[in-house]
Amino acid sequence: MAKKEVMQGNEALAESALRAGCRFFAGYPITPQTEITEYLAAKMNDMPDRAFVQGESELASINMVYGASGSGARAMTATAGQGLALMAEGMSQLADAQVPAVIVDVQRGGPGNGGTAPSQGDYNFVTKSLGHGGFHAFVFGPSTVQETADMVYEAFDIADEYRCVVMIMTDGMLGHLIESVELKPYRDLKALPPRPWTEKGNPEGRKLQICGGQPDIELEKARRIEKIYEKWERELARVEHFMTDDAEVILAAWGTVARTAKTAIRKLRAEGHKIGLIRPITIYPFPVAAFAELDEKRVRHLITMENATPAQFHLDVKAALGGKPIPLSTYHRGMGSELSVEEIEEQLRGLL
Amino acid sequence: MEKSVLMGGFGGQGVQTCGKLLIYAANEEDKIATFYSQYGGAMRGGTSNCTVITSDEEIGAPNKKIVDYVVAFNIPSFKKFEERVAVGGTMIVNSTLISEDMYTRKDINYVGVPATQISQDLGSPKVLNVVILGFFCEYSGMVEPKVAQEVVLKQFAKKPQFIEMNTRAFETGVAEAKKAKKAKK
Repeated sequence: MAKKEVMQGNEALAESALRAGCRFFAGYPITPQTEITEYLAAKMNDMPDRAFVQGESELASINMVYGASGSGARAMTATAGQGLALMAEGMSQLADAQVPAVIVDVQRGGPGNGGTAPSQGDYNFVTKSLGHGGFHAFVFGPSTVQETADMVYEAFDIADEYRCVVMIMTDGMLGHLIESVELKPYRDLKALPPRPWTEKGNPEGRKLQICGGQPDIELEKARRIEKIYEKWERELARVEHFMTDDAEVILAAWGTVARTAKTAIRKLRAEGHKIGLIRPITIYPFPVAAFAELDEKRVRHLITMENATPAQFHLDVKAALGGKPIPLSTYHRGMGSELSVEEIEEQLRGLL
Repeated sequence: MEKSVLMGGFGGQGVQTCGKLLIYAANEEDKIATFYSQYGGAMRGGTSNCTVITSDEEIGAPNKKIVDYVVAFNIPSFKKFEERVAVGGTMIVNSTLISEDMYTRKDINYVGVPATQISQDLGSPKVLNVVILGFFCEYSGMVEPKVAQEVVLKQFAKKPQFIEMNTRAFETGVAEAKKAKKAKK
């Protein structure tokens, strides 16, 4: 009997969310996210104390998530590109009211309608501010089906602990990739962390009332939330170092581009080249130290690669490098299909 | 050690299912494996392909261009993917539809299985992909044929009327591969 199950990225994500205690999902189908909605539509309404709603739009869906979470339920939605743009207003409201939610972006091409092929073009939108007014979500960038399942499972706890939006950023490639996965057990819905701040069963009421137009109160809250971001950046940023110990050429990439690159790096290592990969696992908080602490005497080139044009992730790496004298370049494409291992290898060979 | 196969055919020939059964079998053997299929205009009569990779360590690229094996279910896939077989690799063709005079490369091996003919003789073109799966597992050793056969049978657990035909399809594929291996020696 096999130790693991074989699942598609989107399905593993949906199943793992249920296991994490997701009680409410509202969403609207969009390629390449649709399998998440399909999976939950087929299963969730037959489970006790859970509800699935196909919203009439993404705008409606995010507001249903807002309502469900505000009244106590672990809630999630999933979308892609244009759908996420439609949710921006709602996500900003969630941030203002400090109502937690897990939101999945299975990235496709853009801007505008783009194509349905994989992309990493939502990077800036998601990591810098998910809506107007300025705020952060906690953002995971998985690169395998296993990581996707593990991260969504953990995302609900992080969302509850910090009363924030946690984003899972996959793409059409990872969403449709099939791999073996070991799923974590179902959480007992009655044993989930308490949510004393919700409106449900709260005799005083109005705990989630937003005090717009009262600068003193708003500023105090904004500073309190800013402290949370500082804590994330200090303590919760995650990164993978792949063959970097003695590397003279380092590639920085995230998500599916990073996993694809590993094949090229193994091949070049086997030929004796000192080459490695730095893969941010959380893309906000960004693992600044991984770049700030690079040894400029050893590393003679740093290249970023991403499936987006114009480059976005590159700018975070550049900022993290903080002016350190290591030559930095970018290879990025976007607008069509995933970066292939062959083109990644070719780009890396040019630096050897 | 990574092993990779690209399968291609018409939509409706069961290419996707064939690849999925292969990864299910690899998982039964606790191998690390990936299945990747580019999505888009998938429809009956259109082209359909998928890449399956197995390994004993983490798999990076699930969609690499050059693969150890290509399995061509039909002529368009043969023409499109022949160039993607690694030097010294193997092209497995559905020889009912693809004839030897179409082979263009000298640096790869070719092996044929009359899969369409076999499936028709067995009574249903639907078992074409199971014939090919049996052939592929036995010929490549990528997964144990016995394990793959169990996976096939499990798929039809709720439809017992199809078990016999699929068993025969799988076993005929395996027998053809044994013949082909002997002929190669």
